[in-house]
Amino acid sequence: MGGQKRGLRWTVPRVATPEIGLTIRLGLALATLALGTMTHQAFVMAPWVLAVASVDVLIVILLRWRRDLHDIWAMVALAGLTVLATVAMEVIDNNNSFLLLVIAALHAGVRLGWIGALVTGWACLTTAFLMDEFTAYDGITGPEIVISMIVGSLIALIAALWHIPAPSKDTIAAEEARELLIRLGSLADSLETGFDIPALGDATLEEIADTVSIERGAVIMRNIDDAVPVSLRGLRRMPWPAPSDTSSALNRTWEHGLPARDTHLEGDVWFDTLVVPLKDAMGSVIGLIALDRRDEAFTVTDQSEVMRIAQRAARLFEVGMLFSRLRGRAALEERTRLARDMHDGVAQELAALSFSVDLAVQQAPDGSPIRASLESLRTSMRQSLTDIRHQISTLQMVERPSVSLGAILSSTLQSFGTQTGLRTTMTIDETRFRFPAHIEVQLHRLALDFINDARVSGATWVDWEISLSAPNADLVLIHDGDSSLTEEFYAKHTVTQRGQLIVDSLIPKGHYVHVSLGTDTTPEDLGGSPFLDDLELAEEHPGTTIREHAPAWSGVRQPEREPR
Amino acid sequence: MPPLRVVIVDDHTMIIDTLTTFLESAPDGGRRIEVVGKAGSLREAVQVLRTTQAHVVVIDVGLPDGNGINLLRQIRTKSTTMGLVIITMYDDDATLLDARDAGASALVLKSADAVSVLDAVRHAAERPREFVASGLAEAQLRRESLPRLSTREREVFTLVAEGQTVAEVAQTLFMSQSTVKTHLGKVYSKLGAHNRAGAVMAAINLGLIQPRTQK
Repeated sequence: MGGQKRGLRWTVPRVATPEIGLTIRLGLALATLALGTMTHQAFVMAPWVLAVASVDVLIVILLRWRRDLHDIWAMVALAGLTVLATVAMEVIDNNNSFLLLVIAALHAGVRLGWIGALVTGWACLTTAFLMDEFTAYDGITGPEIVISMIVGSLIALIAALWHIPAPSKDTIAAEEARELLIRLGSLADSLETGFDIPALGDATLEEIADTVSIERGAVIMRNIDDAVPVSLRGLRRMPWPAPSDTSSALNRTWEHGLPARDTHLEGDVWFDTLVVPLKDAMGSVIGLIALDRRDEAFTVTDQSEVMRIAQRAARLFEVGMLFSRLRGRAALEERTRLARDMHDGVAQELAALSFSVDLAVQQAPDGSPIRASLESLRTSMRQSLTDIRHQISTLQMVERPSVSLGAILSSTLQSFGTQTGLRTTMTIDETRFRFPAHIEVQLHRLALDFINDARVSGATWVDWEISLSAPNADLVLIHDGDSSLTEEFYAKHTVTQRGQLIVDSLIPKGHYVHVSLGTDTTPEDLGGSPFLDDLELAEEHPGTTIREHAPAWSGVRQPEREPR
Repeated sequence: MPPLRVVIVDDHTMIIDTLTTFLESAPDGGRRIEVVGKAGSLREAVQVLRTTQAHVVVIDVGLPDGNGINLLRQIRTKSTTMGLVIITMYDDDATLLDARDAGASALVLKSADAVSVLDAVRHAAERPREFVASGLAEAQLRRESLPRLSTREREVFTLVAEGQTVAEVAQTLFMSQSTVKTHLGKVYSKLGAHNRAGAVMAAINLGLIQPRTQK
């Protein structure tokens, strides 16, 4: 079959687009001119050849430029081209001018398919007839008109073999996206830092430090309402309140896009602060650069220099954010697809198999070992189905730009507690400084691994203490199951390589994981970790308890909230 | 006594086949069940229901051409005596209460055992207008405790939850940015949230808004 296809390939239309057909048609125009030269009518024919060729090219450009134009406009334009070619035939009164009609017919056929043949025939017939009747031009008359119409239509019909239906809006959008992505790839290669926002932030702060004397600096990007510190210099934690806080030195720049010079007291030391906005092409604030130093106030010249650097970097930051959003969207679509596949595939099949096992249970004799085995199998299958449903809801819910990590972790633990019946408690302290998306994803993955371990290791309760304030995070995760996970397991998580990790066992049994990001302080040493002897257990009841920063609604599902 | 005539609407053949086998071989001496029709989509269901005089219809929520609860609602407007059982993989309050409000006789999770489906079918045949489902009382309690958002607040918050900025929401709904912020402030207050992220998460958890990707 393959050989046959190769052998027959010559029959497959090669002219993939009307634009390539244009080459052929321009060749025909030149041929017409050459024939005119040979018959000493070049000067008569040249203006008409030029007119037909120009209109032909204009139509190609117009239809390529405005792909959203309805087919009706293509029909009107190509009917006009045929009319022009027919007028030329009538005026020139030379058989060679028939090639001009061929040009129009070819274009109509390629562009409109069989409708092009109708358009060509109708336009040719009408024009020739009217000119014959009402003007002095009679290049073609009587039977010649009919022959011209038939031949023109036939040529258009042949050209229709090359016709490619007008692309749908989706196809056009996809083609445009493809071109943009290819261009994006080459642009990323040409940029020193690519679209890596943290690298760009580091480079920007480096450049500023070379120009202006600074002690500390931060590049903070906007993620809807939240502030994401993407790059820090001389800082381990954010010294300023969140930019959305009206008392913050960053607020004026964040809200109004204006540079600001200020002072703020930290401990007993006064710092001079300079904050400049990062704006996108539309003038919206997409982030800011905050700098400070002691002893010497920032001058207007310092501000101008930093503004100049910020303005140049802002476009790159904007591109980086757009690219990051694109990646996020792709990831979201992928998770949605996975969730759908899991729901439509394995979850449904497992449910069906469970029903089959129910049938087998009913048919097995009462009290028989096989019945007990089947019931045990059914219980396991139900548990697996619950797990899958949990995974599906996790895939559908998590890691959206508008949902903070704290909210995701809270929801994850609540959902876990509801589905497994384990008692879950959580203390969360979260500020408006958020981590970049990839860090949040990694922390969430680690938490998911932890609760999965709690389930399989027979835990009866899970306790989380979480503090999130980018660039700092502190997660203490504890359950009372018989876990076999070691530090090596958690060390595989990339996020633990960014900070410090302690994994320990509790007495008599239990599992303790402490992850600390962005601080110099070592997590509490083992002597300070909460061994089981020191743990205060809440009342034995299932449910999730959020002890701090709990929104009022959490009490709806879990009324047994308790302060700690 | 004539057998109970049941139609099963589910796009998963395995589910239909196993349920059919289980229901038709129900051993407990109750009224015999006969599965007289099977459909994999809303369109097929409409055709099957025209030709079969079913006593009970078992309907999956997620069907390829629409939501099974909509089908149930349509059937209920035509018949008040037909038993209607929803069978679903989702155990959220919204699905449960929607099914009840649409006129279902029972809702069973696919993770439940097949005997629950059998019980639901028999209940639906006997008391089609009396809704039963596991966790109904708790779901109702949660629904009654929900904060009530005004129509405008819901409109604003839905757009915000979709990621629009205040300026974009203002443009979309033809209102000033300060009005949008006022509505948002009220929503945060009602949801007990301190910021957009907390409010969105609270609203999703409470079923006030649906994540866009949820089927």
